[in-house]
Amino acid sequence: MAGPSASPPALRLAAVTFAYRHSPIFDRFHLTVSEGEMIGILGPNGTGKTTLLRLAAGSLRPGSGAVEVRGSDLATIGPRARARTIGVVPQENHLVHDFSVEEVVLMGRGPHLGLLGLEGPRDREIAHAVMTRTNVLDLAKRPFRTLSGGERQRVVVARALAQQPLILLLDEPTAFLDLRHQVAIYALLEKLNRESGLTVVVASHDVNLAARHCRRLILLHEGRIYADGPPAEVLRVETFRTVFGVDVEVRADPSTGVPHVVPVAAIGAIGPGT
Amino acid sequence: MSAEGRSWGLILGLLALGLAGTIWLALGIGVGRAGFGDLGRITSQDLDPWTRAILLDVRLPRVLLAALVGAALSGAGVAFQATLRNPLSDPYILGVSGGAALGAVAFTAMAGGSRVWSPLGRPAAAFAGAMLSVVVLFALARIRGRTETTALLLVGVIINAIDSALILFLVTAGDTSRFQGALFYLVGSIGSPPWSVIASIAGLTVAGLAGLTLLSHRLNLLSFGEETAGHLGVNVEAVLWTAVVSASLITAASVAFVGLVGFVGLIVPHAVRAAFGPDHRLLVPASALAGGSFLVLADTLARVMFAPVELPVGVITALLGGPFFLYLFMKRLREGG
Repeated sequence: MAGPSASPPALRLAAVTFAYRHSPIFDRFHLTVSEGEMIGILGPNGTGKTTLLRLAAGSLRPGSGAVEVRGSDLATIGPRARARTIGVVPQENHLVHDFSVEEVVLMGRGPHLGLLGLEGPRDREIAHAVMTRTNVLDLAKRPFRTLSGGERQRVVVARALAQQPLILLLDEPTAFLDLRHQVAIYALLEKLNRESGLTVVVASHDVNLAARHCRRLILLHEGRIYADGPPAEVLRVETFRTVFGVDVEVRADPSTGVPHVVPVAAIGAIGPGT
Repeated sequence: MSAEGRSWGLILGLLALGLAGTIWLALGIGVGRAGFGDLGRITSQDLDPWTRAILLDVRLPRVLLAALVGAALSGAGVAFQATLRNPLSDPYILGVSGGAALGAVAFTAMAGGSRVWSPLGRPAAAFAGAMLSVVVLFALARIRGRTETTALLLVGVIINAIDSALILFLVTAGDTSRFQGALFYLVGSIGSPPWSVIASIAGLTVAGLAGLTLLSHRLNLLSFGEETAGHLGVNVEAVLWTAVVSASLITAASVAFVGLVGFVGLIVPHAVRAAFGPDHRLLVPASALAGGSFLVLADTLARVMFAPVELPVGVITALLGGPFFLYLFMKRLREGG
């Protein structure tokens, strides 16, 4: 995907090997993400989607190989500089104490603040701007813990945007949301990607939402990239048989041409415990 | 300065005034003849030496000690609540005070009874004991950056039980007449220490609280958990340990000389949070100031309530804090925390 230009990719995993205690996840894994891409990471549970994001975020260190952001090894970048480059929206957000929405969004300014950790007028302006973009401005004074799932997710996206990152990583941002909020989150991500050139990498369970909004999909299977490309190339009937163990019909959306996947039947026996 | 900065400054100013007023009040109240009238004439020559001695040598060190201990335990409570992400934390409940007390008592047992007011040795030994408790606590109750409330509380209870038993043994071995003193130390009571001790506690407490105040914004960022704090640019391990060591140090400095005054670090931060919100940049200094006032008042009450008999101040904090803890715990269970 990377063009012939000399600028290093936004994110690169080079020969990354990683294992949790006794279960290996990745073995010499490669992935390159160019600036301005919007990528959906798909794959069954336990296939390494979350681990991939945690490696890219610097929460996990690879056993060998390197994770690079704009050409510099993440291991050599301090946490503050890292947080000014990479914003993360985790799957779950448990907050202790009743911080308000505004206070939560201002936390995103953390890596930009001085020794005393006091925000200035510019930090407030930025927080205000990202709350407007994510449509949470009228929630500003509400305690975060009183919000609905969809509202929380938008606030956490705002917090990540307040970091003014180059790359936004999201781990199943729609997992606990109803349909309306699922669609709203993806529309927001696509807008951020198109209008501000933000590089977006989103792990998703929802194949169709990802296909509709991401121009590139990556399908993980047993710690490897099984397919990588535009939705029409990745979402094939044979792929679903192999990777997800399910028979599907794939239809092209008549207006957009984006493939739409309809599960038909599970392949093989699914008994208790599988 | 922003509007928020101004209102924080105002809040801290008022709390500081409140502390000064409370100290003044506590100096004027007491069993002896000395009262508020004498307080105003403290610098004049015609005040009789006996009254002056009561005010300056008996009451003043005691009141200052109460203020310092209240500030230290409240600040430590905030730090433990933030690092363990558990609002029910308090140096006493977690067994950190118990470890500190055991260290202090072991020091005196080895160094000899005349070293009870040793201004450096006793806090140093208490700090070692506190850190031992902290290490046990974190090893047993903190699994992958999360602490489970019940595990945390149980570990604290067990550490306290072991430490209390060892303290009673160390103090009374060979001389059961010292039983009462040991009991007062276990409940927590404030005396009138020499000035060298006041200076030592003040130095350690101010340094520790200043360190925690500098860390306070990063404590905010820990509220979403350690992994998210890392995503927001926090060097999590460094911040966690600096906060815990500071909190243990100021706990140890206090406990070394007053024993196990409980629940201050639970009551005060909760009250301050309810009044001014959860932002640690305000919470740390505000809790310290409010905690100082709180313990000065509690100790004054302990002095005069059943005069001439004095209660250990720990009785009052436990009678307030125990039920308050149960209330918080019930609330948490109902909310499914």
